[in-house]
Amino acid sequence: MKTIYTLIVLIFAPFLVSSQSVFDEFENDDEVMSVVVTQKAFKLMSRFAPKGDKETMEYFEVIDQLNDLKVYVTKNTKTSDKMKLVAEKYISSKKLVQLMRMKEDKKNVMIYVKEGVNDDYVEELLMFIWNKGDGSQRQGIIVSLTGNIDLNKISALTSHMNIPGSEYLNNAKKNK
Amino acid sequence: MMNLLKKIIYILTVCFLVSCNSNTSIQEYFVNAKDNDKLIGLDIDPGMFVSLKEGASQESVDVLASIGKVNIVAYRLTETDSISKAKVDFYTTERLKIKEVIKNNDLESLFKFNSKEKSVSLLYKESGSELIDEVIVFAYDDTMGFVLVRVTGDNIDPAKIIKVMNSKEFDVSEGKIKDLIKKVM
Repeated sequence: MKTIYTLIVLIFAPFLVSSQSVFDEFENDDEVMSVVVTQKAFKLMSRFAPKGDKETMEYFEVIDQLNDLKVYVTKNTKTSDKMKLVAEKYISSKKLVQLMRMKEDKKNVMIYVKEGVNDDYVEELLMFIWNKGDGSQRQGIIVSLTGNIDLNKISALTSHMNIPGSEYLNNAKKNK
Repeated sequence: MMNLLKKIIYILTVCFLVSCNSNTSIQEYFVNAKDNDKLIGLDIDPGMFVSLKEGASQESVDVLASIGKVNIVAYRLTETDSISKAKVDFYTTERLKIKEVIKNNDLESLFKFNSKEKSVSLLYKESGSELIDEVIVFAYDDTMGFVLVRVTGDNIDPAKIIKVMNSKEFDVSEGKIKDLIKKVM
């Protein structure tokens, strides 16, 4: 009997460990532009680190600490509504703490974090931008970043990588 | 005794057949693609373009040796002004086929970009701690076609590649690269 239990656990363990992220569904959505960078990539990138000026070295130090980066962008009304639902559900289920909230016109920007070892670091950062405007203004953006994230440095990196919403990240740190 | 041997052979054959049928390996895909006239196929030995300068360090020699072969399979949609339905159909099925092959080959994803008509994926196979045995790049654009690139090697060390590239201990023959591009285009 014991062997059977062990077997069952062994068979199902991989599924539990590599549980799919809630945002994965957007990757296969035609209306969504997505970018996913994995931890392996960040680790490899940090191996490419040139020994150079301080600023570049700092970039690579930040990169080395990152796990996953996921960016989803849509202009579709239905999909952006769905993004909002998924993001809100995720925020409450993971008990993320709000770092910043901003509203201008029909645009909402929310940044949530999971607090890390100290004030400067967070384990997870989730940014959700939702524009309720009509037509071309309509937009939904989710940026999810996990790892050991230094809030002081991350906005410099994300803007360097051209990640949408980086400008808000910069403000978020100042407000904290 | 004979019976047992027969049984073993039978089981082994079944196992072999099952394992063959389940997934197409990337290697198999490239071999099959060679026989397909519609696809552009290209096998490159990096040694053709890159040669080490005299007195290059052992490290540079090792790094160049660690990179084995580069295989490329591509399909172009924009050969003529109008793209026929047959071409689009071929492009679509082949693209899905490659996606499936990549998915079934236990590769580690590094980077993925997806949008309505464009996609780029970068995957690799690790041979140990941060050393690389295989790199796969697959990109497609619904208006242009697709390209699948596979770099195979033996314990490729990304850190050393950078070091060697900075050392300027090698020559790259641009002429040969240009010839190759002309041949394909």
